[in-house]
Amino acid sequence: MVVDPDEFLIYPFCDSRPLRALTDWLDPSSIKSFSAMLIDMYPKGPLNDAPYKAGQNPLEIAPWFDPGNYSIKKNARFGNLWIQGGPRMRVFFPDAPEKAPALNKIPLVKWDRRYCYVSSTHMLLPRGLNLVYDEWGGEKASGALLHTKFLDTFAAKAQEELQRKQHYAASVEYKAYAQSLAQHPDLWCKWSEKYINWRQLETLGLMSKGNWA
Amino acid sequence: MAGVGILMLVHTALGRAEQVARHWHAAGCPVVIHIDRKVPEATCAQFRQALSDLPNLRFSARHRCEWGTWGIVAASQSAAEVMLAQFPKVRHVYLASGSCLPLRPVQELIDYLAQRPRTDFIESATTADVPWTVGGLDHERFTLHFPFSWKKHRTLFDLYVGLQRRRGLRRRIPKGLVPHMGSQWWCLTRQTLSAILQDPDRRQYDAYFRKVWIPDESYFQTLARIYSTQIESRSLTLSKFDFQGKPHIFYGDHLQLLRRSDCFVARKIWPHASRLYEAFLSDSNAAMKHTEPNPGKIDRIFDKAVDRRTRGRAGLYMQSRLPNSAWENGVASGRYSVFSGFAELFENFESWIAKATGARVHGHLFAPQRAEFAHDQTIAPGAMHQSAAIRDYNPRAFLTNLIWNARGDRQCFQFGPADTQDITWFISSDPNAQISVISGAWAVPLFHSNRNFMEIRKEAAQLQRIVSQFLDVLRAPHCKARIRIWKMAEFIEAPMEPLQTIVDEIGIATPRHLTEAPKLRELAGFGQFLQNLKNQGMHPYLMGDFPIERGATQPNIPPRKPYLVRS
Repeated sequence: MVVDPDEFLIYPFCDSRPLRALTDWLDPSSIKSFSAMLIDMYPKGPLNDAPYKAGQNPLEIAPWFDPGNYSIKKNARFGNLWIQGGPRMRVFFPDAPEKAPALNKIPLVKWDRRYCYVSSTHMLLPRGLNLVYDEWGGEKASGALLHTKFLDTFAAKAQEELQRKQHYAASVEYKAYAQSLAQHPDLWCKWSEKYINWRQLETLGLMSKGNWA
Repeated sequence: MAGVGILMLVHTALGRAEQVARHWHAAGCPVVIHIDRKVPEATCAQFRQALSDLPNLRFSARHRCEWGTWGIVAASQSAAEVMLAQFPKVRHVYLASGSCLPLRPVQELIDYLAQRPRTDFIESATTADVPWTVGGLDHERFTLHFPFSWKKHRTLFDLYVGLQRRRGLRRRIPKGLVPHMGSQWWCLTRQTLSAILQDPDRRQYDAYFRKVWIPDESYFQTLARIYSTQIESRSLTLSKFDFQGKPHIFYGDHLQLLRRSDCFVARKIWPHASRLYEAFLSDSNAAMKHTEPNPGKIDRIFDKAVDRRTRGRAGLYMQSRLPNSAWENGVASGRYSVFSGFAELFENFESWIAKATGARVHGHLFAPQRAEFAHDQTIAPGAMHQSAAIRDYNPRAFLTNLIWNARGDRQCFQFGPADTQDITWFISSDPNAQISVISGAWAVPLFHSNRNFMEIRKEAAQLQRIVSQFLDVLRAPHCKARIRIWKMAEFIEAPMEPLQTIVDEIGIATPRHLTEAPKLRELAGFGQFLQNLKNQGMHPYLMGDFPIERGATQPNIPPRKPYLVRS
């Protein structure tokens, strides 16, 4: 399991079954990798209106997300999906959507020393591990990573990342953030959805139980 | 001692198996346990030791049990032999596994079986009648050879099956056997079970079934048909299978569901589902009414799971569902209407159609500057942005998201030659799309525009080219949308009739006769305008034949039928 500290893993039945139940199910089902797309969470109002205190559950401040504006493309080379959208595309990249960051992630893998992550946890090798989606109409089981990056701490973080210049595509992403953040944007809109539980995400079609029941 | 003996096949989670064995034993049922040969000797000895205080518990000779192979049958045979030999009072023998859990008080099962002393409970159906086979093999399980493991050497397995099919290689089914299949978890009477085990032809049958694929689902199921006087073709063990033929697993959150199932035994239970073990093994107040087992409620949940895994939600595109073309099971999630030329021809078409149908009516969703959402909104349900760049980056996702986010709320939008055309192929192949085109109506705004004629001529030529390509797409053989195309001249002859058809097809709660017509734009001089284009060398042909001097008549509402009021 590979997750960032600002990512909260949500999987089907996560409120009643421990992670071990999931892996105990994945394993005999011969499923080696489990997808959980990033869902950017944000507060209502400008980011610095509600300061984050250490130890606080960030979802208290940033419980909102975009329910239905994601674009999916298939990466022919690695077989993984390329998911973009959410508030980051809507607010920071409305005129250059191709630059919006990838939201597809495969954080849970039954690891083997021959495997490797190619770009963050967005894609893996060998390619078969990227087939976390069904191509014949069905739904495979999947989860979500609630991404609590958009807190009042974000502006400082964006500046820092710009200086480190470690990020993909020469920090295009962070340049865009820094520019927009100067205007104190409100990521919230009237169609934002407030997070309740995994069942809500499943109803919205952002994740699926697949055949786990 | 009770008249019901329990055979338990165990291979993992021995702690749980011990708990369940004690539970059976405490209710007076003798228990015979088969431990998979793969379990290490030390673990095995420990397990035996832990259960050594139970007088009516035995262990049987161990076999190696691999899925789909003979080992499981051999294990059941050995355990059954021990049971029949050592516990002469046993009348019914119940085959269970280490991950089975009794849901009702054991005494109820004992009473239930005592009332049916001659009944064998074993699911047993002929191969022609079962839909559940994995790998597409049903009758061939009994007529082909399977030397390769399906789980470990799938390619070899498939190749060898294919080879035998091509060569027409067939095994002979022993005389007198009619292959039957069913759940491997049965409950047989002493008479039937001993007849099977002591059959003079058993060597021959065993040799045959040893090479059948998944014999644990067919050995007892077939042989019971020979000896049983009364078969109830169902399993007393609730066991649901997913689309790979793998048993569904029960967790703590299934507690209420299992309580309501009224089944005697359920499998398979997740070993860490303490909530279930605590509830069903200690608390006999969890007892349910004395009713016939009824797993229907659970069936529905698991059937839905299989359906979701194999068919999914129509029109949903997400991280774990991205169907290949033609496998979408409905391209968009709901029905929608595309209007081309209507807003150009009628002044108030959008508000009119919204009123007539109650649908959500967008403007030109694919306009070059921005997506014109209904009521001039800049953002639409689902938090969809109006940006043309985002839309054109993935037009297909844009449209399917829009329909999905609307959740059953009928969507309509305008579409014309000035719009981004990338979506045409997609909508024309969607059976959910209703596409209505008045061909040539794109010229009306040009006719009303106050621009230099040369500019108009140039644009007219360009628009006509685009529309003509659009019409070609709509007439291609792949189309699955509900498509209607009228030439403009033909349409304005009698506009109400096509409009009524379209509105009827959209379907509103109370179908009604249209009482109001949309207002046609002023068309006096349009014929001359077309003639002028022709005179400039551009050939407008998509609108049909327009007489030079004809304007158009406003659409009329047919008068209501007269009716009589009795006083």
